[in-house]
Amino acid sequence: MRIRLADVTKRYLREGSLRVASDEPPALDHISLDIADGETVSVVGPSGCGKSTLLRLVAGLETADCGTVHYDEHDVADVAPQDRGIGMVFQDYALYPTMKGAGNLKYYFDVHRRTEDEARARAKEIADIMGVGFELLLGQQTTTLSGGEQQRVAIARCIVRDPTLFLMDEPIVNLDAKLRESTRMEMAKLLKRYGITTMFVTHDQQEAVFMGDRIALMRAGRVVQIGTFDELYYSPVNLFVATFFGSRPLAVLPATVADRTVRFGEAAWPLPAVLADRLEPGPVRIGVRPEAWRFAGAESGGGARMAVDRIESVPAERLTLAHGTVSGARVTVVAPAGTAGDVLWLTPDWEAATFFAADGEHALHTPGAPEFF
Amino acid sequence: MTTDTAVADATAAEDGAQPPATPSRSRRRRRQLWIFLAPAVLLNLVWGWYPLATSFVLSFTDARLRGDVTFTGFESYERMINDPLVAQAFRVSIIFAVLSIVLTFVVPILVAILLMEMPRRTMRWMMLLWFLPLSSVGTAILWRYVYNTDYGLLQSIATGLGFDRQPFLNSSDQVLFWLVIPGLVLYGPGLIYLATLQSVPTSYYEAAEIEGAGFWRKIWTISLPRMRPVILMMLMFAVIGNLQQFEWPMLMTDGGPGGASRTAVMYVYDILNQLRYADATALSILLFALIMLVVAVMRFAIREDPDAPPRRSLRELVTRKGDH
Amino acid sequence: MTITASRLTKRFGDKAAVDGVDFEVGESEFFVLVGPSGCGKTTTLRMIAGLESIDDGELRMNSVVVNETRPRDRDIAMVFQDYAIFPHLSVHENIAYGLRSRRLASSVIRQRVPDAAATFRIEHLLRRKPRQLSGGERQRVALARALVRDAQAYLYDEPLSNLDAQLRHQAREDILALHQRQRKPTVYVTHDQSEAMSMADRMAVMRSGRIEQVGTPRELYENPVSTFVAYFIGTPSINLFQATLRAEVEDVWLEAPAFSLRLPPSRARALAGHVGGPITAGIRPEDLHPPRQAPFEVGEHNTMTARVDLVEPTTAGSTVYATMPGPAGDLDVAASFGARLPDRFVGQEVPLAVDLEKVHLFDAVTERSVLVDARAA
Repeated sequence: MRIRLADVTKRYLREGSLRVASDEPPALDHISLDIADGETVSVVGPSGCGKSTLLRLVAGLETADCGTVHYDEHDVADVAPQDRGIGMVFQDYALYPTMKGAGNLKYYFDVHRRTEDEARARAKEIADIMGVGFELLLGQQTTTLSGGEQQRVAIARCIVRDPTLFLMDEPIVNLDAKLRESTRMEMAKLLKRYGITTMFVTHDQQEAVFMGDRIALMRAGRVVQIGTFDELYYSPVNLFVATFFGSRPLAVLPATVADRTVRFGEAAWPLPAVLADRLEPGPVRIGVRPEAWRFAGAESGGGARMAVDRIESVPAERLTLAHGTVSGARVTVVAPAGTAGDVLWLTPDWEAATFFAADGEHALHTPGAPEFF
Repeated sequence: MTTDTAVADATAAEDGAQPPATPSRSRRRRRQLWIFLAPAVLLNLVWGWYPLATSFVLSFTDARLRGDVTFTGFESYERMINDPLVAQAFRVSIIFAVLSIVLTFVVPILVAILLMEMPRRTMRWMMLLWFLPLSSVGTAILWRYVYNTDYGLLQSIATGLGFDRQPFLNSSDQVLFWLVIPGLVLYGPGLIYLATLQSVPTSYYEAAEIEGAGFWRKIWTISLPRMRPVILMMLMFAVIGNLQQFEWPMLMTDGGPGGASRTAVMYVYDILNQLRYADATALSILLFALIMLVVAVMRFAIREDPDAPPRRSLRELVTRKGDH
Repeated sequence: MTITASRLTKRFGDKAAVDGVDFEVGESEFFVLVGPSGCGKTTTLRMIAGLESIDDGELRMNSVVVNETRPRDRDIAMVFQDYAIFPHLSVHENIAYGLRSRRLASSVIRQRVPDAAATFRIEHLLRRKPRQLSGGERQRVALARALVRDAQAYLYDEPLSNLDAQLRHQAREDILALHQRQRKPTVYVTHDQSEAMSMADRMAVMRSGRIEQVGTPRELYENPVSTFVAYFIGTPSINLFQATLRAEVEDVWLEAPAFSLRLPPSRARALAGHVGGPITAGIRPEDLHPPRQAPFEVGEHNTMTARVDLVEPTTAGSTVYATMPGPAGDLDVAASFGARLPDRFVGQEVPLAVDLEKVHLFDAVTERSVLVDARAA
């Protein structure tokens, strides 16, 4: 099913107030989204950005102040949540604690007066979809299940009702790191096999990248950018997007462009022709990813001087990281193996650097995705 | 704005012409809300607000059991204010309230705090005891025997310890003191304090302990501040309840000796028994006004929320305005 | 100071939450306890803090047994998962709490509190109440409270788990900066192995109340003593396969339905007693390469084939999730590539070159490594 949101705005009442305050920023601010049939869109953003509100609005648990939500061709403003054919998985799983796993799955059939046989047949089908060991979980009281197991039952309970849209609100945030990894893998495979339109809300950028065909990054009630990982990572529309993605922080260097050179602190570099043509002279901010630096040996070989605080080796990625500062800006760089000492000389890799306005945060130039093959 | 470019492709579909929001579902929901609320609102109006309004009106009349009612203005109020017994009754009520709060209010707080230090099992037993339905009428009658000057428990203890025979409830100087004492065994509020304390994250106490805080410092800097809103609420209830005290003096002393324990509400009751409706309502309204005044002062003077940022002083506000 | 735990045990009812744990945290060492939820790491930390009584074993600080010492007499600082800063006290009073508890002169307090606050960039917030602070700021208040007292040891109980990912980097650096400055023994608990790997001088992996392995992050990564440690350390997780060892002339082959790999002499030598029997092979995703990019010679003997299910883009390239036929249903295999695998490969069979020098081998029954010496455990 295709989901379309057009210009949706939602304001909450302020606590203790009866009227909507117009000076308060809206929870959702003119949001438009188009999710294709069968697509998984991750909705990600810092806490309080409105991502859960957005999900609840699509579910019908919240109503929009203005704007429309379409499921395929139908405006669903007047359709109650229970009639929308959605499956929702919550952060706390929201299983019925008085029932066993099987009871949780059967509940839908009881409510909708289906036959016992039908319920059992469907539960069997689901158990096949959910994979190995799932039937064991059904016999247990939900309160005795571990977090990961509860979560599987919660997902199964959604699938049972044959939803046309899956809504997941931080479904695995309460699991510990290792379990999260295996569970998200399982979920991704399930979604792929099931081929159902999904909105996946999370605050974790890595999880968003993993789960989503596309990722919508939100801030303060707005969708800042929506696209694939490559679009968000290599062509961010602004500094916020650039700093949000990536497993290690982006260095932001305040610099000045003049005479086809860029100056940052003590260092000055001639700009490559492509960049020099595009950038107006004046102050800019350069965003450099940890992996996008070039090194000039331990002696003063030109470039910017980095004072190293700490060298970290990441065996799993065969990386050496150096954390420190360059002219007061915090910088993390992927350094050559065997790097040691307190000082590194760096130059940004201009092909991978992003330029942002100094006064605003919008991007002036983005590198775009590199050619991998 | 950068956002616009990012979502432009999505908006393109719905070019412009947006129908206004259709809040028919929310309107339906609001209607449902009112249907659910209606019984409660109705009951409140009929049994709460209507009598209040009526008595307010009646207090300005000469209402009797029978006959026409005529408007008499402040006549009843004048009569009540000039009645020396009214002054006495108010004095009794206020002293009773002050005594009761001074002597009995702190005890349940302390008990709750100490109970938190007890093993779980002890705590559960104490909570069970608190939950037991104690009839306050029964307790009052029991205490009347305890205080009996001839064969009461307290008298035998007093004489046993070598004191003279005590008058207890028969002394007009002491009667209010003795009336307040039974309140000590009613731990009702203690349960609420205990529940409040149990909702305080244990990590607060653990952090305090690691930071070097001893038993008293933990109570002073964590338990009490966390209980503050509840304590203040209970204090408000206690003030309101005690200013309206009726059943204990009624059951134990009947207002005696010589009106020394006749509270304001008891006097309202006496006047009612004389079928002086207008006077009774006028006196009630006076009491109501007093309580409202006390509550208003308390609410104004005490900040309930311990976690709120400190209030700006007036001077600070003024200088801030100047800055802008 | 040093912290020494020997046979440390804690029982809840019949169940031992911590079951005879031994470790030593050296002078100025950053020691991390890591494990899945319920493994006993937090209980261990709480025993060190004195918040949990010790049922058996000994806890020593500087060779003095402190089993019965009250928390406040241990002179430690602790940062809690929920920060445990007091909501009714201002930031200043929160930071000053320990100093006031210890009755320090107010002139000292007036000087030290702003200092500690400045270290964590919250000096402008001293008059605020915690409610007015963001999550990251609250966390820094907790750090400042820990720093201000100049304690003899620092304990952290999952301090980053309530922070957004973006704040986590900064907080991590803040904690390490605090450690650099104080140079005091530090015990840090987390369930996140990547956090542990990046912060620890040494770390202990715990599982159901016991320590599986102690060592530097690199040691644990390169020489895991058991399948559990191998699986726990590293993201994506190591691929574990059931296989048999077959000897052929000079060589030892690792055989499974989906692949047969010739082990290099260095590995083969350690396997004497296991040839012909079952074995569990562990191959890390980063040791599987696209044949043309492998940093070693690729041939029949070190290649396996898998069908691609999913490709996850990463900043370094991509993680490929694939399946291979196994004895009972498909086996999952993950591979981390230094380049992006184009989407057209999804559903296709691709060859994966295995870096055999880095294959881990475990006893199929005991799940202990057959390569790592027992004494390393």
